[in-house]
Amino acid sequence: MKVIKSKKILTMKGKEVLEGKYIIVENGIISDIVSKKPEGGEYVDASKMIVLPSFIDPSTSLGLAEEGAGFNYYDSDESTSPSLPQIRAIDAFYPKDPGIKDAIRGGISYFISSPGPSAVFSGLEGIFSVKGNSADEMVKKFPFALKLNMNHSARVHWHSQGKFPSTKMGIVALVREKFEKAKYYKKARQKETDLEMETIVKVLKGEIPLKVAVNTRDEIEKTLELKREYGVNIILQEAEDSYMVADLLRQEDIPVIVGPYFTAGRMYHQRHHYAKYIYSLYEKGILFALTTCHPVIPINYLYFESVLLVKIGIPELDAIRSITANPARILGMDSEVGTVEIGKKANLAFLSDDLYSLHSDVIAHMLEGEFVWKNF
Amino acid sequence: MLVLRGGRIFTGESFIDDGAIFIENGKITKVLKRKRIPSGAEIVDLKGKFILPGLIDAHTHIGMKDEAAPREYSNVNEATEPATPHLYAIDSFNPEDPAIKKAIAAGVTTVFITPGSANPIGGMGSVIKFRSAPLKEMILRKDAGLKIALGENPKLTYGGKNTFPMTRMAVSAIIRENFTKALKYAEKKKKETDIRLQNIVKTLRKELPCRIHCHSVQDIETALRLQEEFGFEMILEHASDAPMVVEKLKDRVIGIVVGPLFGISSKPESKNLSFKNPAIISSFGIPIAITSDHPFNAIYYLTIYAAMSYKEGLDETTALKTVTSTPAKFLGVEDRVGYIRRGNDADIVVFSGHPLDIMSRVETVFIDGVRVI
Amino acid sequence: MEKLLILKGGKIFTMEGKPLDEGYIIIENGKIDDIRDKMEIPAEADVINAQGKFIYPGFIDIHVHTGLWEEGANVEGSDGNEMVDPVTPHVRAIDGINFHDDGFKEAISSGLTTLNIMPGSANVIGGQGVIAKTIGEIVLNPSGIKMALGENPKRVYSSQKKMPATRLGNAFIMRKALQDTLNYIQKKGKDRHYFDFKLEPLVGLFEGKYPAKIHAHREDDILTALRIMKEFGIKFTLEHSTEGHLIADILAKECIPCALGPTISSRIKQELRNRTIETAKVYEEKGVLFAFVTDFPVIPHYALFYSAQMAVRRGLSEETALKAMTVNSAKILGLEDRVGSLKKGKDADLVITDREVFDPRFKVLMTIINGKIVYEHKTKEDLFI
Repeated sequence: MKVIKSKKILTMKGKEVLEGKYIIVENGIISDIVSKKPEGGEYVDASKMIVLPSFIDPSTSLGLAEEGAGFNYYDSDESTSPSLPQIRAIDAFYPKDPGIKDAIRGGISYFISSPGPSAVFSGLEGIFSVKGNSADEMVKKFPFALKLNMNHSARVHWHSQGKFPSTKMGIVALVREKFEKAKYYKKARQKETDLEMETIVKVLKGEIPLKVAVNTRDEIEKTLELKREYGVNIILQEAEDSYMVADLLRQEDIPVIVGPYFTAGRMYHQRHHYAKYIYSLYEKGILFALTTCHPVIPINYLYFESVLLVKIGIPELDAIRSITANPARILGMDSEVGTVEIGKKANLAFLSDDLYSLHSDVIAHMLEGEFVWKNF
Repeated sequence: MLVLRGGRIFTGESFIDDGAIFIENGKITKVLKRKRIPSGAEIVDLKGKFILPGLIDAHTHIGMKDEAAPREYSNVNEATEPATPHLYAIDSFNPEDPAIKKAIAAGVTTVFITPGSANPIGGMGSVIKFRSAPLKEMILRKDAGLKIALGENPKLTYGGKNTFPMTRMAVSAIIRENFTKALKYAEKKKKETDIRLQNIVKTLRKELPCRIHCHSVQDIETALRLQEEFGFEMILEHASDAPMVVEKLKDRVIGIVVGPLFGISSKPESKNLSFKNPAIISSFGIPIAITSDHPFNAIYYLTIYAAMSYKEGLDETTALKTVTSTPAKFLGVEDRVGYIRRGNDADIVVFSGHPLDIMSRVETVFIDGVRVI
Repeated sequence: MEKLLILKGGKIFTMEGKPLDEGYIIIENGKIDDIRDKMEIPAEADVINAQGKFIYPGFIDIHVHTGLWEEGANVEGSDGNEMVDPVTPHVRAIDGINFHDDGFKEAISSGLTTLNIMPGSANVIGGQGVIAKTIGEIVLNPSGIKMALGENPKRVYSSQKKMPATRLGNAFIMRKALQDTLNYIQKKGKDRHYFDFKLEPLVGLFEGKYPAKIHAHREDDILTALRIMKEFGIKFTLEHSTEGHLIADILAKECIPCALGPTISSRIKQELRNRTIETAKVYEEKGVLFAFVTDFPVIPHYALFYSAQMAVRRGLSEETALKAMTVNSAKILGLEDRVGSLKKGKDADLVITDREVFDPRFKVLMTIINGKIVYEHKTKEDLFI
C-alpha cells in the first residue's frame, strides 16, 4: 500500500480540487482518498505537489518512428499501397524508442501509436503504456481504431506517384468501394479469410472506430456522410477547419483530436491551423483532446502545449482535461483512467507547483501504482 | 412575404414588364403581370432594372481546385485510371473556394460540377446551389450526369504515361468495355453492389444523361455511334465542330453545352471554336447552354459569353435562356431553378441594365428568397 | 520632432544589471532617452501605463527563415534553399523574403522585434543572411554567409547524384569555395577590373566584414567547421550546436558563439539523436556564449519562450535564459550598441507582458519597435497561436 500526501488534487471530475488529501494506492488502483493519514503502508511525501491524472496522447508514432536513428528506422509509414487496413502498429513497435523515456518524464502514461500517413487506410492503431520491454507487455488495447487518411498528405503522396487515388473524389470512391465490398463479405460465408476485409468489417460492425485524418471543411463533412451512410464510429484528427462545422460535430457527437501546436510552416490546407480556432469547439461542448503527434513535437511537451489553450481563453482545468479525462473518454478507457477517483488506476502526474505556474513542471509520474519517474 | 416590383423580368421563357414577383419561405409563390400588391408585404422596387432567374452554369469544376491555391490542390482529374465511373465530383468539392463568392456576385447561383476530361469515363457530376449551408444541403441533384470524354485529353493523359489508352480507338474501347459490363451487370442483378458499374447502369436506364466531352467532328460521330449501341441519353460538351454535323444531332441529343469560348483554340481538335457556333446550332432547333467550364474561363463573366454569342447572331431570348432555363432542363432541376415562375426557388438576379450589355452590373442576388448580394 | 513616449512600469528587465521593480522609460525619436525610477511626467508626453506588468527589451531570434518560407503557401511560397548548386554565396535572403507574410505578424505578436533571417541548410554555402526588425525595416544586409555541414547538404545532393554525397564532400566543397575565394582575391589584386559575382560575397569573410554562420548538429561536424574556419582564418558562429554540450570546453576556449535550438523538435535525423534540453545549462557552466533560436518555421516564434522555460526547469538560471533571448543574441549579431537591452541611446524596442516570460501563461500585451506601438493585444483573434 502507498500513502501519498498531496497539496492539491485536480481530480478532473468537473472543477473539483481536493486540498491536503491522502491518496491510498493498492494493487495499482486508487483504493481511497482520505483526509486523515492512515497507519502503515509506504509513505510518499508529495505534500508540496499538485497531483493530476497522468496524461494521455491520442495520436503519435511513438515506437514506430524510432527517434535519432535516421530515416531508415522509421517504420510508421507503409507507403506502398493505398489500402492497407490490415497492417498493425503492434507489429512494428520498438519499445526502446528514446521518445518513450521522454514520455515517462513528461507524465504521459498511455499513448496511441498509429501507422501512416500515406495510405488511405493506413492500418490499425493501438493504445500502449510507457512501461515494458516489448510491444506485447506495453499494449493496453489492440486494435483501438482503423486509421483512415482522407487528407492532403495522403492524396499528394499518390498524386506524386501518378497512382490512384490522386484526388479527393478518388479517395472517397476508394473508401466507399472497400465498405461496399466489406458489406458483402460480411453477409456471405467466406471460405478464405481476407485480412483486409475482416478489418473493415470490424469497423462496419462498430467494434472499432475509424480515426480519420482530414483537413478541410468539405473533407470533414464527407466523413460525417460516411458515418451516416455506413453507421461507423469516427474520431477526427487534424481537422483544421473543424471550427467551421462545429454545430454539425456537436449534433453528431464527434470527438476531435486537436493539435499539434508549437508548429509553423503551414501548408495551404493548414492555414487555419491555430489553437485559437479550437475555442469554438470548447464553447459548443465538443469533446476534444490535445496531441503532440510525436515526433512532430516531442511528446514530453504535452503539458506545456496545453497552456496554449489557456492563452486562447479556455479555463485551466478544461485545458488539462484535454490531456487527461477527455482522451481517456475518446479512448474508451474512462472507466479505468482519466480522473483521480476511487476505483480507477493510479496513473498520476505530480507537478512541482501550481498548475501552469511560473516554475511548475512534471516532477514525478506514477503508472498503475508504481513510480516510473520520481525526482523528489 | 417579399415582393419584387417593376423592371423587366425574363422568366426563363419570356419577358414581363412592370410585373411583380412574390416570394414566401424561399419560393416564388406568384408572378404577376400587374402591380396590385397586398398589404403587409416587404416591397423591393426594381423599376428600371432587369431581372433574371439565378444564373446557371451547366459545366464547371468550381470548388475542385481553389482559386489561387498552390498547384498541388487540384482535385479535378483522377488521372491514374482511365475508367472511374464511381467517382463523384461532389467528393472533390470545397464550398470555401474563393471563386464561389465571386460567382454569386456575378449572379451565378447554381452550377453543375463535374470531373475533368482526363478520363474516358470520369465519374458522376452533381448540381449544386451556392447556399450558405452544410454541403449536403447545397446539393440539388447528386446523380445528375456521367462524365465521358473523347478526343485528345484522355489519350494524351494516358499516352503521355505510355499506358492504355493512347489512341481514340482505345478510348472508345474502354467506354464500350465498361458499358458492356454494366449491361450484363444490370441483367444479372447481383446481390453485391458494384459501385463502378452502378453509375453506368443509371445512364443505360436513362435515369440521367451521359455528358460527353468532344470537340472534333470524328469525336461527335463517335458519341453518336456509342449512343446507338447502348441507348443512353446524352448532352454534348463543347462540341466545337458541331456546326459540321448539326443535322445529324437533332433528336439524338438533349442539347449541347457550348464553351469555353473565350480565348484561343489551344488544341488542334478545338480549332473551330467560335462564338458563332451557338447561333448556328440553335438555328437547327438544338437547345444550347453556354458554359465557362470554370476555371478554363472564369464563371463570373458568364453573361459576357452569352453576350458575345448574341453579338455573333444568337437571338436575345435564346441567349438569355442559355444561362437560365436551358441548363436547368439539361440538369433535370427545372422545377427548382432556371425559371421565375410559381413553385420555383426564389433565386433571382437583378441587373442594373440589360444582362447582355457589358456595362450592366449585378446589383442584387436572392438565393432561396434571402438577399445575399 | 515626435512626442515623447513614456512607459510607466511595471517591473523593468533592462538587461543592464538588476531589474527595476518600478520605473519610467522615456522614449524619443525612436530611441531610449532615459530610464528612471521616479519622474514628473510632462503634459505633452504620451504615456503607456504598464503598472503591474513586465517590460522587457524586444526579443531577438538570431536564426530564422521568416518570410522565406511563407505560411500557407507551399512550394510557391518557399524561397529558402537554392538547392541546385551546393555553393551559392551570391544569393541573398533579402531577395526571397516576403516581409508581409503572416510569419512576421506572429513574430511581432510574440514580442520578437529583431530577426536574423538566413537561407536554409540544403547548401554547403547557402547565401547571405539579413537582419531585420519584424516590421520589415532592414538593420544589416548582409549579416553573414550561411553555411551548412552534416546530413542536410549530403542528403539533398546525393539524391541528385552530385557532390556532396558524404561528409567528406561537404567539407571539401566548403574548403574549395574558400580556396577559390583566396585565389580570386589574388587575381583581383593584380587586375582591379577582375570580378566574380559568385565569389565576391565570400571576400567579406576574409576581410572580417561579417562572419560565417555554420549549421552543424553533431560534434564531429562542429569540429570540422572549427578546423576549416581556423585553416582560413575566418570568424564564425555555430548554428543549432545540438551536440555542443559534449565539447563545451572547446567551444568556450575558442570563443565560438552558439545559436542553440530549436529544442522543441523531434530527433528525426540521426545527427539529432543527442538533442537534449540540458545543453543550455552546460553552456552556462562552461561559459559558452549562446542564444536560443526557433529556426522559424521549424517552430513558431512564440516557442522561443517555451524553449527557455523548459531549460530553466532543467537547471538553467533565469538570468542566463533571459540573456539568451536578448543581450547575448544582440552580441552574437554584433548589434549590442542598438538592441538587446534597455539603455539610453539604444533602439526603443520593447515588449510589455502580463506575466514574466517564464510563466507558461504569459501573454504579450504590447510590442513597441523604434518607439512606435506595432502590436497591442485586445482579443484572442489577434493571437497567432
